[in-house]
Amino acid sequence: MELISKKELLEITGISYSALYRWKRKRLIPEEWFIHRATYTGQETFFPRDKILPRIARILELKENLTLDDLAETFTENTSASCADSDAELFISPEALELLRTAGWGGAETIDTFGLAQASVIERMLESGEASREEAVLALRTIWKAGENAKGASVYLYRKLGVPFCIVGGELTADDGAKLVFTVNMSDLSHEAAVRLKGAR
Amino acid sequence: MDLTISGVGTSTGGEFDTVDINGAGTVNGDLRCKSISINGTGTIHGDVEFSNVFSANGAGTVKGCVSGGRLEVNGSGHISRDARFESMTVNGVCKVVGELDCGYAEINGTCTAERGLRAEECRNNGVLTVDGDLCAERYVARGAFRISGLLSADDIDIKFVRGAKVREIGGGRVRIRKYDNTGTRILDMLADWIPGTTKRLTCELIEADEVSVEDSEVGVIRGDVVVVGPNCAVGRVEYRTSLDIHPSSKVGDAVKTT
Repeated sequence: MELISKKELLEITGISYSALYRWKRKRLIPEEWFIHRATYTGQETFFPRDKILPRIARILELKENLTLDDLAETFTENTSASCADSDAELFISPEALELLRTAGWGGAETIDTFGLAQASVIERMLESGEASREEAVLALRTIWKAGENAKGASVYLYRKLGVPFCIVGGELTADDGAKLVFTVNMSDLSHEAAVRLKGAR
Repeated sequence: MDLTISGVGTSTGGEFDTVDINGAGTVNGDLRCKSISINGTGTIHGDVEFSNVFSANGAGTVKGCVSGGRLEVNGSGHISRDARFESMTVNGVCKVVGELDCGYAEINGTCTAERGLRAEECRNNGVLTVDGDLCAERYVARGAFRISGLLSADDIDIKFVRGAKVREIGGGRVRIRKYDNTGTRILDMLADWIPGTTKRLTCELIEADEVSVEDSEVGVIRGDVVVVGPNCAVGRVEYRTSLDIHPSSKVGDAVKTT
């Protein structure tokens, strides 16, 4: 895991000490990302580079549109944001929505962030042009099968000898004969879904 | 429906409008009410949820969690688990063994939070002890405090009474001065005979946009605009914009960073 020092982080991002401490208080940056190490000048704080830089970029992007408390919620799996099922077409493209409805998606009165995140998987797969409609439905059914385990997990669509299979889980390594057709992380999609449902679009 | 315990009495918990415990009262079970007042000794073996006011005028003990509107501790209050209020005023002695989460906190007496304190605004005019971090938007101290973890706030305005100690400070604006009036000067003279308390505030690290300290011993200060006032001992300063050091103070290393 590559680390970046607090000093370097402030320099690269241009954010102030007050901003960093405020975002930590508001739980926009998880406590676990603050890693304390001893250096020759004393105790210093480091962060996981591949996590902190995108997170700060995202906060800077969205903080004008959402309150810090709302924004903090979008980074967790438990947000209360939702919309009416009848408003689905405001958030999902018509092609994806048609496929989703046929597969049995939605149907409850409201769509929560996890529901919208599932719809985003289908949208992304269709947009990428890499996966077929059947493979998109296969992924959706696998996510449903995973249930609560799908939250925070990654979705992988592989093809081996022309046969597609889908896995929902953590870090994966497949054999050379398997081709990774499509992958996406549910946490990222949940976050984006929460942002859209909270009105920032 | 109200619950009143007068003299020596026991009740089961439940849902009430007003709860009054006068004398020596025990409640076995959770309480949900609009307001609760403990005059005398009251012990609740359960959680308390109230919408208006909880006043502990005598000795109040809750062996569970407390959440609600306004807490007033004029006598003594002891909460065994987490506490969450819209506002709290401590004129007596208050101890929270769990996490203390409060909108507005005013401490005129003594308050101890054993798993951290979270507030929008915290005004400490008395003695505050926090085991863990104190997180607020604003922290104003005119008294004594010991914070074992991080004091994190946007606006930190401290006039400390001797023995003040905080492990780390982080935020926007930090101002630290000695609380200098007749009372504190007398306290200073008497306390010279008490071992373990120094006249200066001690802190390992301060990181903020604006830092201005006096009468403090700090390991490292990092900031944009840094003013090291009189009677300070600082190990190292890393500043981005400007640094001023009072002649009476000692600074080990001063480094300008970009």
